[in-house]
Amino acid sequence: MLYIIVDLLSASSLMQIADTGASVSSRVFASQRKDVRWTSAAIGAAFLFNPFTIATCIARPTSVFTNCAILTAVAKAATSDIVPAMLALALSSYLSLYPILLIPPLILLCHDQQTATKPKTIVQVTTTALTTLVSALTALIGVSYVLTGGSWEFLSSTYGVQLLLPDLTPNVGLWWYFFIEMFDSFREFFLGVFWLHLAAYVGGLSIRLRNQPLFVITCLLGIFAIFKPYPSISDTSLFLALLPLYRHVFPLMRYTFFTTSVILYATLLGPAFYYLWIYAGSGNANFFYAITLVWSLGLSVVVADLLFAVLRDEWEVERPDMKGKEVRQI
Amino acid sequence: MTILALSFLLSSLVVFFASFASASADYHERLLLRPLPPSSLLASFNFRSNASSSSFEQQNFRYFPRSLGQILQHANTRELHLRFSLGRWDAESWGERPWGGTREGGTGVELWAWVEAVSDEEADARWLTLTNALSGLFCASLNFIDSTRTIRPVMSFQPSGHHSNSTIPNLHLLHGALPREPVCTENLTPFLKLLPCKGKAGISSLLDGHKLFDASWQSMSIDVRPVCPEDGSECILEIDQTVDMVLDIERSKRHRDNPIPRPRPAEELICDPTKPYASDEICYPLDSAFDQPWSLSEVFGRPMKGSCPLTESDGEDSEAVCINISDQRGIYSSPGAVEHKYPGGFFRCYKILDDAEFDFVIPKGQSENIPSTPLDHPLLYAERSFTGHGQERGGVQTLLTNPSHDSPVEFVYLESLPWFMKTYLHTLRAKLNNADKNSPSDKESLIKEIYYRPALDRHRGTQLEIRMLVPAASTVTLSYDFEKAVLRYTEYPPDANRGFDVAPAIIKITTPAGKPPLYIRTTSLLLPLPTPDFSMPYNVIILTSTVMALAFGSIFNLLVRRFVAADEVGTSWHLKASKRIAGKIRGLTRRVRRKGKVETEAKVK
Repeated sequence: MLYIIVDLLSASSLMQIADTGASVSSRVFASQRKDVRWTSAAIGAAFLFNPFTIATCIARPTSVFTNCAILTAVAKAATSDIVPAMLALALSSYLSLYPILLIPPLILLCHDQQTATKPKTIVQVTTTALTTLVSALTALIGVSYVLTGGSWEFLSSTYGVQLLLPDLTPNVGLWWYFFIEMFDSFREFFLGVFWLHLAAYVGGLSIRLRNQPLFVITCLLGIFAIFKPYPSISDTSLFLALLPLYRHVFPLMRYTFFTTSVILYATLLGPAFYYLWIYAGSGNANFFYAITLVWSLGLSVVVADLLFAVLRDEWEVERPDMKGKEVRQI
Repeated sequence: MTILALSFLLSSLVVFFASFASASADYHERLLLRPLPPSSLLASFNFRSNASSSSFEQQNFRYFPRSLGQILQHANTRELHLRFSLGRWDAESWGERPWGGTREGGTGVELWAWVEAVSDEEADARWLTLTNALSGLFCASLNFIDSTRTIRPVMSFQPSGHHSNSTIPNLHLLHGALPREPVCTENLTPFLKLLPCKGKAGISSLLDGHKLFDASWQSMSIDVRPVCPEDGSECILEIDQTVDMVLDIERSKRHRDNPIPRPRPAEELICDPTKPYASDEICYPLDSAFDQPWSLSEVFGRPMKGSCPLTESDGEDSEAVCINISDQRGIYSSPGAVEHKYPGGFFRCYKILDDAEFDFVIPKGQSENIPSTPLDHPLLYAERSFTGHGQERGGVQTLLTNPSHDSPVEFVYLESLPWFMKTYLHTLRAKLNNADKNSPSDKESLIKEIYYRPALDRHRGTQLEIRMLVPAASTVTLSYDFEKAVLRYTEYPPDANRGFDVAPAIIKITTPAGKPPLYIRTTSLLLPLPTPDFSMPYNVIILTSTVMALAFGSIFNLLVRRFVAADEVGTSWHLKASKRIAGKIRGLTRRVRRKGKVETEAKVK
């Protein structure tokens, strides 16, 4: 019941985001295809009736709360309510650490969606946002410190688990098998590499797509769903929830059939191979590992393809004559 | 002449030494034999020696082994218990355990000690010193008792020695178990070396690795504890070494150079004549003949080499070999031994007089009505096993049966589980098997107290102590669920698919005040964990990195490049270069294939 309520809250945040139209137009940018949209009710329904969302709700994980907090943060940022957005982001980062990487696009989004006649400068927005975020996080961690009886040990056993990956339980991500098989002496090095890799996308996407911060967030959530330490299908469902906001660029995507089939293939075979390995004993760990590779590859093609479509759409604003023609990248 | 004189001198010295030893009663040894149904024999060897605490502190060792004594001093260990065990005690047919279970350990190696230290950290450091030193002394992997295998039991163990009131607050009990350790001859040799007679004379000369580790069940123990006499005289440090083994008489009698079991010739078969079909041709073999003949040298593979000269020469302590068998049964012993039958009809002892070899023969039962040795029934039966299937999660269930008809049994159940077995304490259930369905929740009425210390990944294991009660004539099922962790590939043992051993549960039965507690240990468990493919580290690193590189490459490729229309390109250098290369290839093909010139050109165009 609690999980259904949390999912409904997430859906209402999603509908708020859709209502603002931040995905198609902003102060400095407006897509040529901004009229091709689904209604917010359709987007909310697409999230709620997504099989991944339903499966997550049945499994009752804590990542649902993180997802809800992230969606709330995005919804508040899309209406430029800096303080509530940052409070929600602080909560989600407090719960699972990785959403903290969403600060730059969220600040951009807050800045971008201001409706006041005299908008604040980016510096003012950043200062307000960072102050709120830091104080909220401090307060949350301080409360935890008091609740655990004045010891800091909870830090290493919560965020330490995210950072250092001591638990190698199989999941849909790439980390677990890599670090099972990793040589002990290189473990720390590759942990650093993996985290840097995850963080590397934030800067690049935020700079290149600074006019469409909501898309940066969508794209980053897709990347997190592939490359974060303990990914699950709930992260994928969050990414897929934001995907319908970009209905207008769907015609520009090149590999829709391929990605849909790859994701379906991985979704169907993943549980089967897990069963073969863990219960039936007739397969070994490589079966499931191979399926996680396919899954990650499929999702990364979705992200890259969406990115291509959005960039193409953005380019066509400058060159309206190029609509529907062959393009090249140089 | 000189040699004769020397030998005389030596022997007189030995006599002098022996008499001195007996005067101070510092060494004592005894072998107790007890036939067990259906055709086994329990042999309990016990060696006890002691040193006064003042001589111990001055490093003046006599019967107390110097090697062990110095380790204890170095690690500030006040009381030590070390166990090496193999096999399973079959309580259903063998009855109560020897020494009430206090001198046995779980399968593998078990060690617990009271270490004197001012803080927990210091105690851990001294424990580490102790385990490493003992590991060297006993040729066992005791150094693998690290923080993940060490627990600090709260309710299950009490010091058995007398400790002064000033040291008690600083004593730390640490307990470690290695269920995987194979106990073998290399552990017996250092064990025998600690004895004053070193396996050369006395009952220890019967101990042979081949027989000991061939036993159905065996347990070697070393207990060191301080004992302060009640009369207020000086405290002593007592070392008590025991070897208990259950030998299958049939199997032990098999000749060593003919170890392969073969069908017995028909004339040697012992048949059951009570069967209706019994005749000269048809035989129902009685392989469990309780009263089959055996002798000491047959069972142990060698006769006993005299008595250890350091034991007392008279009194009860001088009787080195005792046997728990009916008085009506005749025993032929070798000359040079004095038989002493005790009242009660089931206990007799032999005092070995000289250095001659000692042996005795128990002939086949002469008559049907000789009573067999009575067995004490244990207060509790315990059986532990895994439940569930698959390598993701599982469960443990322990059946605890109280055979008594009138009195309940109260005990402390201790589990020390490895960290990769992640227990869910909320699934802990205690169920009374023969209770009504409507009876109130069993957990509250059966479990009195729980002490639980959860595991930390790679740092410490789970410690679970439950004080609970089993009502008379009933069985309680204790169960809980756990999840299996996946380990790094270097953390798996060499034969990873065999599984991991889980240390036996230790059950301490609380007895009425004044009596020492009884102990029961369950068997160890074999826990299979999901295994990765050990041959794949490079493949996994390469494949995962490829996927990451593909994603990173395609995304950043899109981010850093500009869009242009397909027909606007043609000025970049690599296109020029590729055109030039294509032109050259074209020329080359033209030259090579003069015949197909027309077709080639058409294709290029």
